[in-house]
Amino acid sequence: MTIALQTHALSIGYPVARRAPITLLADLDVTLQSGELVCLIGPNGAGKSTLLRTLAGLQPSLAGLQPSLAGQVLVGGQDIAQIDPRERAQRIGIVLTERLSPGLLTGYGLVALGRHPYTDWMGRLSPRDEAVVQWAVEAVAATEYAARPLEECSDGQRQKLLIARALAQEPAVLLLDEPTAYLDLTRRVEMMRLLRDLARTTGRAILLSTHDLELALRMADRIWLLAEGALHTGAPEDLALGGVFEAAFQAAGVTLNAATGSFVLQNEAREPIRVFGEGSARAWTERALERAGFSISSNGAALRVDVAQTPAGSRWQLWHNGDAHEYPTIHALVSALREKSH
Amino acid sequence: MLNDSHLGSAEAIVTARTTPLIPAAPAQAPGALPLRTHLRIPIWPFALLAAILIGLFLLTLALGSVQIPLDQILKVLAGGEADREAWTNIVLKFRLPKALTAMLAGGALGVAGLMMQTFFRNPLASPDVLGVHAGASLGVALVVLTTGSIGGEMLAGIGLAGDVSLAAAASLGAALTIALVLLVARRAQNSATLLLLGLMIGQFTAAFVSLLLYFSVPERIQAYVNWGFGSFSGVSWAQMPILVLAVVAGLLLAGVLGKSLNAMLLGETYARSLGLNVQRTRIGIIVATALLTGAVTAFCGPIVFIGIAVPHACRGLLRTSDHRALIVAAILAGAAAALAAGLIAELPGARIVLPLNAVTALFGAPVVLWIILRWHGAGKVFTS
Repeated sequence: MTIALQTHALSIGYPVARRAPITLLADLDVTLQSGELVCLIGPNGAGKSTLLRTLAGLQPSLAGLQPSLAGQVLVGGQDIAQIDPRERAQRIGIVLTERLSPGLLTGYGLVALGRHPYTDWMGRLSPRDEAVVQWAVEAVAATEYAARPLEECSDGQRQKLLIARALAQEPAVLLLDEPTAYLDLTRRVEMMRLLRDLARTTGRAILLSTHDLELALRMADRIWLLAEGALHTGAPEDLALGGVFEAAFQAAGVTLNAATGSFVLQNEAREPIRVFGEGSARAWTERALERAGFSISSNGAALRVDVAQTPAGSRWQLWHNGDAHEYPTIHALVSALREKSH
Repeated sequence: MLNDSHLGSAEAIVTARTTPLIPAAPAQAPGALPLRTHLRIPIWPFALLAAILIGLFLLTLALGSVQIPLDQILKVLAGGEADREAWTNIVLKFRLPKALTAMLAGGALGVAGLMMQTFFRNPLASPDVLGVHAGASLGVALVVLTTGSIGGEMLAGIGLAGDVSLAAAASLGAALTIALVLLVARRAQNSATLLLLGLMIGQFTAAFVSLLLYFSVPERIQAYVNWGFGSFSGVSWAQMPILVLAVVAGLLLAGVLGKSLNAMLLGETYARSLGLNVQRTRIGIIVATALLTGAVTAFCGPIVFIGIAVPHACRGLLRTSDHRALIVAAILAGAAAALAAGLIAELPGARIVLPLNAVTALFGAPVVLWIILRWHGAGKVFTS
């Protein structure tokens, strides 16, 4: 494994007119390895986008704003602030959150712009440039709609074409700011899988920011967790075992369920309830009850639900102080429980 | 140079990379239609524009208060003498400089408008969006309305834009505005600041000019208003080299910027991520636009409409956002539009001459609307 990108005592922030710049993060020492997928997570405003832009050299680090501060981003061992912009564009590709208003540009035209740092002054594409563009389009599986104007492409298709454009730069490091933001769940999973495969097969380092915690925990080789002015890094499992997520998301009322690896909402004053039953019917019932504010208990509780499987479908029996009521759906059960607690 | 040759050319430089990250793939998957064919731009729109341009050029030489037969015009253009000496004189002394001026001005304004629309990512941007017209008009207003050096009676009838002091005043006003814009551009973080600056310069000069008008006498006001109508007839052979030099320099600079303008379509942040030196590109675009618009405004007055309409017409015709093709199309279409406007303003056969700026919009707006609606869904033509 080789180091694709590295920071030394990097401070990030942004300038404020006539005052000292605002520091978001200080003294960052992190590395990105070739071939790994890293997810950057953290609350809004923590500085995810600023970090990505600083790593891409699009925004000066605080060292650039305030020379007294040290700090640098190294790509292939060279300080990003010192390399020629063209050379930099051949090493780092970025996909931003800002939406395009592409006019008459086609998907293929957009991807071809990724060859900008390689072409001559007229921007002519050599046969090799064209081969790379074709490869990039195929790598994100966008061949089908690459010939269409961007305006006729869906959000997910545009996002893929933007990633293909960054790939066409043949960068060693690919940075993506919330690539799954506009996508539905299946597209999000598809996109993450695509990026993970790209990291594996092309040996690029891919760093992406996302708000999709569960997906990030499942897909990422490593997590960069930005919270309260600090950056925690590590394999998702290491961070979970170390209690880093718990500490970071406590204030938000979310806890990580250590058994399932999924996040659950914290509700206060939970009433225990016991559920009997089998298989997925029981799992979904427990999930609905948790959402309704109950905690699933494995021993004696005043409330008890029996999930019965009948040939006609599932039935739910609620036991309370010796009375039993039967409900045809989970919704009816939860509604009845809600009324009871009022 | 406009067809696919520059897009698919084998002689283009292959930049060697230290570590090729992808295997040397074949140029295309066997059997699959190569996608690059979609980047090709057909040649016929350029041929069409060139044919229209040549036709209008010959018409401009032929029509006017005196009609001259086509074969006589060709004879004069070939360096010979027409059957009547007056015809040779009319063509060489009046109509040829007028046609040349119109073509230079139209091409310059078309390209300047194209650059401004991409630069500001705004379909409403025009060549004078940086305040060049405003600066020039202030210069002219100061000369015409305040100094007594030009007699009112002398100004009333003759070709005003041809007056050297007017051209000089307009140049100076435009140049000062450009210097101010460049000064701000070096510090500005985004193009919206420049848009605002251009707007402010326009408002400021309009207010100042209206003050000058308020305290001026009718003849001088008339002279100022006449300058504002615009004219292609005021450039003599002696002044022509200056106009040619400025316009050609501006167009060459625009041509060099073609690749950068394509990258700017994605916005400044993406352009920077592609390795574009945005600051240098920004200065380049401003200098090119200033050269083109400044020279035209100084010699022809503030010509409106061509600069805003021609780029839209070209995008509608070519259905591409590739500036390398659009720049060439804008030169041809802009020159043709200016010649057409000049022809209509002269009202061949009639004694009166219409104000040029009224003609450009009056006849141009429906044509551009037709192109946009006919060739593409309205709105898709816009770069922004």
